[in-house]
Amino acid sequence: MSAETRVLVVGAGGIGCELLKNLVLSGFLDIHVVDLDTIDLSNLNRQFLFQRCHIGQSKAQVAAAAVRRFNPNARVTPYHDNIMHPKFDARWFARFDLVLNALDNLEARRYVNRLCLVTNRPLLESGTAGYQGQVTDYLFSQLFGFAGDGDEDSTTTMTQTTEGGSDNAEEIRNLQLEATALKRLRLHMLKDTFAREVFQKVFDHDIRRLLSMEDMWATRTKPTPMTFPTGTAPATGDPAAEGRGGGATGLAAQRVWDQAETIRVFSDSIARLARRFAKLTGRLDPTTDDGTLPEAALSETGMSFDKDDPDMLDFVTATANLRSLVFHIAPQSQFDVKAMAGNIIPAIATTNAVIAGLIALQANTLRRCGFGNANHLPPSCQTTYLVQDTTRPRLLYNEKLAAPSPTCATCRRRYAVLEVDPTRATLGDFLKLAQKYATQLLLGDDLIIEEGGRILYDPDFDDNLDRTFADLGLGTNQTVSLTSEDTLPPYIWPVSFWLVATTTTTPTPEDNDQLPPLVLTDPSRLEMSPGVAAAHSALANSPESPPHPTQLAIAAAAKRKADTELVPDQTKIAKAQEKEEEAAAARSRSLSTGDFRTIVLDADRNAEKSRVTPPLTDEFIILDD
Amino acid sequence: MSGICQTRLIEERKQWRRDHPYGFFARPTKTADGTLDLMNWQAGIPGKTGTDWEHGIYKLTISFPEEYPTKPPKCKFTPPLFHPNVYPTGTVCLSIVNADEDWKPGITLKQILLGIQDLLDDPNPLSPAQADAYNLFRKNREMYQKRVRQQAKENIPQ
Repeated sequence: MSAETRVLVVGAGGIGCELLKNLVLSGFLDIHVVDLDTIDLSNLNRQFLFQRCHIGQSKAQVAAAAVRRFNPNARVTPYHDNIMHPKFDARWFARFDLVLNALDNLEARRYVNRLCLVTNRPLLESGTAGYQGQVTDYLFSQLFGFAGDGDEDSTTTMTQTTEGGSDNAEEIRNLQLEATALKRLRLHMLKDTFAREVFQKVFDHDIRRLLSMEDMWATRTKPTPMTFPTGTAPATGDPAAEGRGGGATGLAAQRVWDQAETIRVFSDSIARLARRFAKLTGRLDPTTDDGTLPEAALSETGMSFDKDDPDMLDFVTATANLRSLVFHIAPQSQFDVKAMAGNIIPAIATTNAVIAGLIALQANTLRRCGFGNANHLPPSCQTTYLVQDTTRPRLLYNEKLAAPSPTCATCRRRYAVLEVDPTRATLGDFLKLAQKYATQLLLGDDLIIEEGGRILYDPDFDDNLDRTFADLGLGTNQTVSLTSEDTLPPYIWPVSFWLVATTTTTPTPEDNDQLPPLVLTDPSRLEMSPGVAAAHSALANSPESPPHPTQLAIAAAAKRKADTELVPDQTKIAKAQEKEEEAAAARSRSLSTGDFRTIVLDADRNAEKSRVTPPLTDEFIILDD
Repeated sequence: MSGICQTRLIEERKQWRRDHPYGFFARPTKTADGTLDLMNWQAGIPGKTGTDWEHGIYKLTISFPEEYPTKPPKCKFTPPLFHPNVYPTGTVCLSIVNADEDWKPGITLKQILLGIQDLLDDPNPLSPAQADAYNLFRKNREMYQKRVRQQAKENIPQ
């Protein structure tokens, strides 16, 4: 059976290597693997398909060659490319039965998730961080969070607030000076006294100012201001000439510096960074006699921290440790500072192996279910967590995913693939297509066409109707959304059209012109499934709102669809009973094999439940014909 | 951009077109490629009748961040306004559009613009944002009012 199963593995790194090995050994014979990365020395401790001689080569290619040897019958197709490249379009994704993510970043995860939604492919999502990990199956209608991570606060903050409404102009001026004092020190960057000035400001002057606020120290340990030692030779910025404590590697990096050495590294690294900054901004020659930079230097942007830059790491280690000394906190070695400041989470081979094992188990469970064909409903979606917590008796926990909610703006969206010849198709053609499918779309008469935050068309803005998709910058793997200007009870169900640009290099231009410029690959994707429509009607049918014509149309469509789909129910129930017996037998056979087995069985039990009383999740599945 | 952000902005535009307070305007800006940019809007706020701000329509740009509506939009008077709670750059200092204060994702564009209109004649002396208007407001109310009336005259739409 597995011969027909074609799987896509996205990523051939920590999880990917383990996963590829598991897949070929558990009988998956048609595997495609995509990875844009090349092999690095630091990968070799956990990415066991790679060896020293492979450094610099494509991860996808080397991994594919390695696992082919485990099972000569397996066809493993590598792609040394970015999964977000337009060549991997919706039609390409649609060729797979199952997509397995083994990625390391959120952007690509979201992208693959969306393509799986558009093409109606099941997705197994996974990740590890240190000793923790997780596997989630997203079947057809699940979309994970889109909101930005919001890790930085870019909003304006009020820095000039005066307490108690004081109208003392001098106070305001002082506050303003204070706020820019550190920034203005930058003008002295190339002076010999720069390190001393920064030091005195941050570790002496500022600390004394904090100490002056008596209330603050009622319940805390007072910091001790530090003064720059006299007699320290001015830093030259030349690492060879300085006694460098920093930049050490190996065991030396794990030694904690004493105060004198910390101050030395502070002055030395600050001088090195100042020279680099001056070089970067073309200000090697100070323009005034005493070495002060001109005011314009204030607006120049700085350099950003990189944990692998020795000058920066020296500076951060020394500065953090000096502040620790001031506040009576134990200083740290450069090795530990690098882990903290660089936010390094160690990648652990064992965690990857456990997670890849769980993915392979889940992939096999899905394969047994036929990947959600009409007659074999898959188990409901779940997440399995690998958690290191000594207070709990188990390492693995699983949790069912919440069903898509009809009241959620993200869950409500419908997805379809649109084949388009960008040089011929106009926005007007697209609008005509939308009008043609009006009964499936159920979006009313007043449509809005939008792409990535741009409104292309709405009833008050028809300027662009004659422009082509190419002219509007629309091509493969972009999404054009259709929504409504009407107020439809109770919610609007927008549709995202994922674009696939068709080739315009057909042999004769005449033939080309015969083809329609826009083709909706599968119009049935526009229809609401019976479950969605039922939920929709239920919400609309609240006592205070009379039925709306659109709503009646939705209900009618739902009934039509339900009538045609209810037929196989009897066979489903029979199969469910058969499966329940099998599962019970399997449970009694494998009681001693522990958590791994339990998880698969839980999945099976959930599957049985879903067959008897289908949850909302299954209703949202729009099955291929 | 996030799906939630764009869905919400389309809804804001729809609601605004259906119903907005008299004398106000707000619309997405037209970009160089001939489409409308939902993330950046142009708006105008009229000064309330019977105040020193009367007759003026004060223009501002509203930029929505990717994280909207989790984070508030940035409202900026163009050109910068003489007002104690407007930064020299033109950015409005008002608690309901501050992520760390009273911003809530449920606050609509209409509420923001009405809130800023209220702020015009009722500045908050506890949150000074520019020294010019703040000092005059505290120390010489008569001069302050004269400047405000002068500004209103300069902002009468043609």
